[in-house]
Amino acid sequence: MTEICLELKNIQKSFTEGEGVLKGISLTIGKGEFITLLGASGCGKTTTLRIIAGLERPDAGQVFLGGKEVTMLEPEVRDVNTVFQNYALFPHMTVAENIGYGLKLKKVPKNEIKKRVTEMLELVQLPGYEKRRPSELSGGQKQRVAIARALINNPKVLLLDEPLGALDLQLRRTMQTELKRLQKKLGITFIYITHDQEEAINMSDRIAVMNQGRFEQIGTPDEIYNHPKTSYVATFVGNANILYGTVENREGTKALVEFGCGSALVEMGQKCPSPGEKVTLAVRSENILLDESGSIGLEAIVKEKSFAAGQLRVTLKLPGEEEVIASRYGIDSNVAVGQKVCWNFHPEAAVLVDCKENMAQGEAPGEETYA
Amino acid sequence: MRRRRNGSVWMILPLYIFTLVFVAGPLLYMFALSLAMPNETHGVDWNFTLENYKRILDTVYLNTFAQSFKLAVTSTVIICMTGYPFGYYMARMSESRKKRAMLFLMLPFWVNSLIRLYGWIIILQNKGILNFILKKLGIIEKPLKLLYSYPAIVIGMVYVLLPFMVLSVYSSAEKLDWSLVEAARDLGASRTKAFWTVTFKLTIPGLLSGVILTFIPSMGLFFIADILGGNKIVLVGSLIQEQMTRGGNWPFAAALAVVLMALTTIMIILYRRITNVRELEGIG
Repeated sequence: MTEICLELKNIQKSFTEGEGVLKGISLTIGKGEFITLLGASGCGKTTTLRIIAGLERPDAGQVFLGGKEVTMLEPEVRDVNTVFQNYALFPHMTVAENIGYGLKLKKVPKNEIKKRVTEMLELVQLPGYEKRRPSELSGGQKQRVAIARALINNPKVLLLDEPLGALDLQLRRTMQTELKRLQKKLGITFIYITHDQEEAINMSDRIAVMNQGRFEQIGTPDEIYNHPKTSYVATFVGNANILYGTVENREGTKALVEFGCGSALVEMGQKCPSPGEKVTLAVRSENILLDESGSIGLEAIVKEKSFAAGQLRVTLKLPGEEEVIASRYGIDSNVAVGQKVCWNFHPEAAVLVDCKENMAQGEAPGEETYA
Repeated sequence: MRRRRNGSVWMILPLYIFTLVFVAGPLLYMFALSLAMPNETHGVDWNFTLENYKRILDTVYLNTFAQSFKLAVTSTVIICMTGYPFGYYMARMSESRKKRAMLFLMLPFWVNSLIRLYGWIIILQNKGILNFILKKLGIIEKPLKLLYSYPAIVIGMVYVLLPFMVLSVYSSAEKLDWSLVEAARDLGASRTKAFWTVTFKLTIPGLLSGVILTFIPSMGLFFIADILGGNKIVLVGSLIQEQMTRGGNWPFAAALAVVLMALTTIMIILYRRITNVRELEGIG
């Protein structure tokens, strides 16, 4: 990481007594980084953003922007701008007035404002839209105006609160690429909020997965996707199956794990647990291998078969009521519902999650107060 | 298609009839009346004349109009300055507080406004509550002559019409998307600046309808001036009422009413022009 741009230190916030929305989160963001806060709704990601913007004050903890503490400063004096979820364009102003609003407040001369607005409109690919009113724009165009209005102030950090949430899939994809292009071009730090893991993986330099007011894991998309540290990250980001088992035997870095419906060999790496230990493993659905003849591997019964987005999904029911989903591209499987099958996975496909040393990062000091 | 259109006409027909009978009819009758001649004994001679309108040009009556206009403007300005903050803060209250504030605002409507105005006499008279308190506090030595004065009429007007402004501002401030104010703050506006550039601009429609709701009645409300002004200050409303009853000159009263209506209509049109309603279109 290069120069530090923004730092959150043990931020805590609750709106109702005893119910912490943020339970002590810490995060360091480098200059020019594209970081995504990923999590389900209600996990505290919007509150985090509002605290950075100054629209909300934390109960405890500090916010540093460019090395200076800004925790208690008003939003208007912070070098941070926000793209709001509902765009929040001023309906009584034209597109040009909306974009130039920040500069007008700074008493920038009119000619200069006009020039910069034109530049911004070109940057967001809406040239000639100065005179339009927000009510005359489509969702995607409003989004571009909102981005231009924030970026014209040349902020140290741009906060984006699910900016593409209201757009259709096609437009989302285009805007994703465009946002990434803008960020690279301007070199501004982007803090992006989304609940869409695909969007997060596509765009981010780093992803911070949030769950119930805490960071579950902070890392590059590759780390988050391929090496999840908790079962939450594995299921939320990778749609992985979570398997609970007990280590039976150990051979070097490999372990034989008993799942109740059979055993499988798992590559554990350096932290290989010893026999008798209980382990939680994450295996993504595309890595579950089906054996239709039902001879080798773990036992299961086919519960459901569905076909969506070019993918066949087979839900397997294990003897212990647990379910495992196997997915495959193309229709090449002849399994029938109710059929007894065997399934397996490569030793390298399973990731050990929820072990103690991994959890440490998700926890933060000050947690006891909310326990 | 044709059928449906016919059907919808039948649906709103009662509304047309109601408007014709109770609004357009009386207005036309009044206009006709203003062009007729008064009879010696409380009646009307249906002979065409413009005498009634010519009579209004008399300085006495022109002064009455000026006086009424001045009072209406004064009251409306005070109502704007007190009613706007009232309505604005009410819109920002929590749901339970909103309900309570609304109840307190509506409470006076349960009592007839005449009776409430008599209450003001008790407060404002020489030996009244206000003078008593001011004296006890040592602010004044001799009781102030509050009742039967111009300020007393203004107080009465503001008191009676304030709720209409509060409700009007409240309803438009309630619909305001507060994230716009946050966006303004985020873009570098101070609280004050954000208020004037966003909140105020977007609640102007509410203020505007509040002004219309208070300005028109304040031009014509005669009983407030009668009760709290002690007949010292004659307003158009009182003049019309007097010509209609004791004066017995219906055509002249009608002419005064037509002029009053025309003036208020012109005022509203001008006001809408000035505040540029077009600019505020598309705000829901």
